[in-house]
Amino acid sequence: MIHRIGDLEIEEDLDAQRHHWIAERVGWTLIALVIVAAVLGLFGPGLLNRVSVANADARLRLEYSHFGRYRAPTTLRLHLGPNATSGAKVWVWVDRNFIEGVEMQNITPPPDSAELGADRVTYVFRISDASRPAAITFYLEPERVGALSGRIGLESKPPLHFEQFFYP
Amino acid sequence: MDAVLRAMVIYFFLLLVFRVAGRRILSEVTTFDFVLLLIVAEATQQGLLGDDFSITNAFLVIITLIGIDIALAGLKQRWKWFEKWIEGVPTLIVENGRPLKDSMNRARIDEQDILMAARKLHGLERMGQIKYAVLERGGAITIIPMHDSGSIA
Repeated sequence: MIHRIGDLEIEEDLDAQRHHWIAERVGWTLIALVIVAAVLGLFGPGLLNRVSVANADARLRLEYSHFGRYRAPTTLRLHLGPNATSGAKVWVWVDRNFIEGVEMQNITPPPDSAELGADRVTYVFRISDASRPAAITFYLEPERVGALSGRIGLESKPPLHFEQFFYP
Repeated sequence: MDAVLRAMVIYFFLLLVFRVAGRRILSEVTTFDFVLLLIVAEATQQGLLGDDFSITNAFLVIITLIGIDIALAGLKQRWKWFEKWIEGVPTLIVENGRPLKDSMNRARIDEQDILMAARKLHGLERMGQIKYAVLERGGAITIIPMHDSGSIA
């Protein structure tokens, strides 16, 4: 419906326009919230995104990211405390559900070998001095969207559980 | 946070570089200006997305860029000095049919550019028919023609 304002024929609708302006301001607030959330780490790398989980005697600690994005690189870092293991080799296993949800790009240092198990993959690393702390880094890219839980542990000791969520 | 930071840094970097480059580059006068903008867009893309091709990354980058734009628009409206620094100010380059050589040289404009704008906007034929010519903030040249009492030359 075309209105007339003075000499001007114009389809102005002030009610609709007021609603639009309100919607715009709501939108701006949402944009600001999203940016703050992104900086904090809700959508991937951010200030609060890196977390750790450790076992009871703190000899084993996994550092990982709470949130990641599909096919975007992320890392898991497994810290071995002093005397977390003994001998010249250490067996680290990761559960199969997790391995199949990601594409493992690189493991630093590279394992000597990898053994398949029914529900896990076990990597064998050489360790020069088990009484000093060491760390293994897994570089991976998630292949799935959504929540993925994993377990990682040494030899036959109780594993560490961790949960990640990957955005599309 | 990486997406937000990348977007912010690249936005402000481009803002700075183009402000320094001068207004004429933005008005796409020549083919080369246009090509330059295309290439800059290509070079920017890699820096913005990095090696993360997820939709979420793209969304965060876009939301950050739009968010900065909205914020700057608000700041420009609030503080005049801010607007002057970010957008620039218009410059008079022709007054009463006489080109102002000093301003023209500084702005790197020659009479050809002014005459082209005069032809394009008003179908004018001579410099004498131009009352005022202004180099606007965005790099365009606007013309106020002499009124019907005729031209100077």
